[in-house]
Amino acid sequence: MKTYDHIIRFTLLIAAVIIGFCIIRTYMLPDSFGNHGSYSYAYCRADSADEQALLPVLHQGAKHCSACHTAQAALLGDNTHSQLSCESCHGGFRAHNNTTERMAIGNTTDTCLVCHVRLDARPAEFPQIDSLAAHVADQDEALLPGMTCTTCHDPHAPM
Amino acid sequence: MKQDRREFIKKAGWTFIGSGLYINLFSLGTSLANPSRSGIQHLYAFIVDTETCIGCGKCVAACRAENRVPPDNYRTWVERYTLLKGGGVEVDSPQGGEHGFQPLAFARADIQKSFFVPKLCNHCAKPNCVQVCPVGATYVSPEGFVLVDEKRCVGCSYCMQACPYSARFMNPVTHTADKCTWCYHRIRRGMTTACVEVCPAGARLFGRVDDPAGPVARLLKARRLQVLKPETGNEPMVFYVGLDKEVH
Repeated sequence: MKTYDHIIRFTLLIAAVIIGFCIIRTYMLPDSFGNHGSYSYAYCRADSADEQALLPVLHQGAKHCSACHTAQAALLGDNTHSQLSCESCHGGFRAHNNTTERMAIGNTTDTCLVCHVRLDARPAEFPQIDSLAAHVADQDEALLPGMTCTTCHDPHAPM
Repeated sequence: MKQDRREFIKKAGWTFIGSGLYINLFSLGTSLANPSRSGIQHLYAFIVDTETCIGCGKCVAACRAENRVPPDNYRTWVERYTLLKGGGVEVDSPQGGEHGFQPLAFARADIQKSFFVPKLCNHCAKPNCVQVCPVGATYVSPEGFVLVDEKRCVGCSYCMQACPYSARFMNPVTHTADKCTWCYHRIRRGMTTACVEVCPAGARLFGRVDDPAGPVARLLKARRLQVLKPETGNEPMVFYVGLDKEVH
């Protein structure tokens, strides 16, 4: 019927657009993209999480270190620094393993003072010193040239 | 064409019902095409103890190394809050606290109190950042981690604006949104996060909330805890011990 021609043409056009959209969408969407449990929070590509789970791990934990470094592990024993991870001061494990670079850290006062310089924000019971000179004076000693924290303290058994 | 009111209301009604049916069938089709996983659970929580944090910045350095965080960007950082007698509040975080902190210029007598507040992504239960993403690049994993899909992200940075905690940044290498993942790659391997691993003071704690013997579930039960900006309705999953009202 001539009266409805324009409606039929319009409907066909819309149908073609919708079908075209659906076909293109199927090819454009990556695998596993869609609603995964929540429209608001999990409309995503599900494979992404599994891909991120495969990222390499750097810090391996103290057990990995003490397997070889038995002397240091024995020194640590149960003194105050035994609650620290080796990697707290020495850095990530894998960097060491891959380069066979020694992981001894700079034997400077600053290395210790990062944690032990006196700050008002630190808990009062945490051991802190104002400076190496002041600390040595507190012990009734004179600061000698070349003196560092490790002159008196072994970082693996500080007290 | 003459149309009376009754006829119009009838047609409008049918159109309404029809479009409703269409939308429902369409979403049914999508969910059939991608069968949903078990849904999202928020299985993990992070606890930060501001009373034991010593502000050494080891967490920031470990995070950078573990996650290859580009210079001058931070997935976690440490802020120092100093409350002065008389009401002033000073907040500083030199280089995110990565190399520790120096004593402040204030006289000790002027300081009411001072403490460190480590910050990271809160992995909220109702994250704004996920809702605003126009391409589905940021999402909540089945375990409740808020993650970014690098391959989907178009770098529009809507999520950065939506996050009330400024936990996100634009990665200058990949040009995509980046943030703390709670070391998702380590957790999936049964390890803990890098920052928890290296914290010398035990100020950071991460674990499952549904394991009654675990330290996190125990603390969640035993301590009175707070979250940052609860009024935003994001329902953060990072809980703080000893948070003052001055902390934002």
